[in-house]
Amino acid sequence: MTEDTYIGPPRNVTADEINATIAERQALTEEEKRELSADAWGPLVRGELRVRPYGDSNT
Amino acid sequence: MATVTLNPVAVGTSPQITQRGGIYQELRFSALVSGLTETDNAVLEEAIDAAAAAHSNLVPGGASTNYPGLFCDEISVRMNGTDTKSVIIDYTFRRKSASSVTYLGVGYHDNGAQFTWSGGTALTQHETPWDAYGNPIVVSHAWQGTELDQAAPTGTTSYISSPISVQLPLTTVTGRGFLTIAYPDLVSKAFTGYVNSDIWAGEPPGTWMCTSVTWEPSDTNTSPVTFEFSFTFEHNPQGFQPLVWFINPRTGTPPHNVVSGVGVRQIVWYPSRPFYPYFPV
Repeated sequence: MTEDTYIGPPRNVTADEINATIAERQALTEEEKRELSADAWGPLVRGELRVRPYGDSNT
Repeated sequence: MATVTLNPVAVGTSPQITQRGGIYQELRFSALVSGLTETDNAVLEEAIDAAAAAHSNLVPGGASTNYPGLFCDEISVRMNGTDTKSVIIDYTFRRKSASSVTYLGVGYHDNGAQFTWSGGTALTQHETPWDAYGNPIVVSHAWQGTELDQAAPTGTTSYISSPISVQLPLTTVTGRGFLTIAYPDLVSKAFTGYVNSDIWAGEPPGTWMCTSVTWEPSDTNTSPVTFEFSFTFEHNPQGFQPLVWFINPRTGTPPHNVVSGVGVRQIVWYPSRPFYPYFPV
């Protein structure tokens, strides 16, 4: 098989990229994770996040 | 003046703490209140007030000093033997709404959220047009002129793509936790039907989908109300975005040499969202 003949599921990341991401996240402290989580949940808690309808482009 | 003694050894009481799944669930301890002045059962209320005056958290909803997340849920008062001027108060501190939930996480609302996870993996019947290496599954036959009902001229080779039925491991995980939030329905809509746009739980984008979000009130005394949320995610190693294939109308199967991105395309239908910041697992 070559990349030209590959028709399987989309491979938008490689195993190396996944492992690198996991390693980066494992290096985060609990406090850093909490801050990340707070930044993400904040708009939801405050009702500021807009939910895109189906068929709209990705967020 | 009343005297309040926590965990009085003299009356044979001892504190108890219950831990389940690494999380403190229930704390029990007693207080001896002596030197009371009221008569009859009025001493019971006098004792409760005296204990609350001495320790501000010994009131309904009061937070435990040593065990964060536990709150005073039950106060029970009894006389200390035949002594009409001293009583024993039994306190039970529990997690919020401990009686109605099986798992208890800690919600930090504006400071982030923590979830506890459960889940499993099971094999599911699945039809696939490619093998484990991403090759189209194709079988061929060279016509020799000896077949009874030869479909092509002798000396030619016919190719047919042939999807096969396989077992695919599908994983489901459920995260439970509390959020103090004014718009719980916004949270359900913001995740249900979404796939991960980032690498999440060790898997590539597009392979996790949030399939269900439920919420129910856990503590209506907070403002806004605290809800217990349950998020269910399913993992599909082949991704959730639908595929469309060119089908040969004469054979009813895709041509064997169909070209990726042209004759077979993955359609972006489900919206995506990064999962990791919300659920750092």
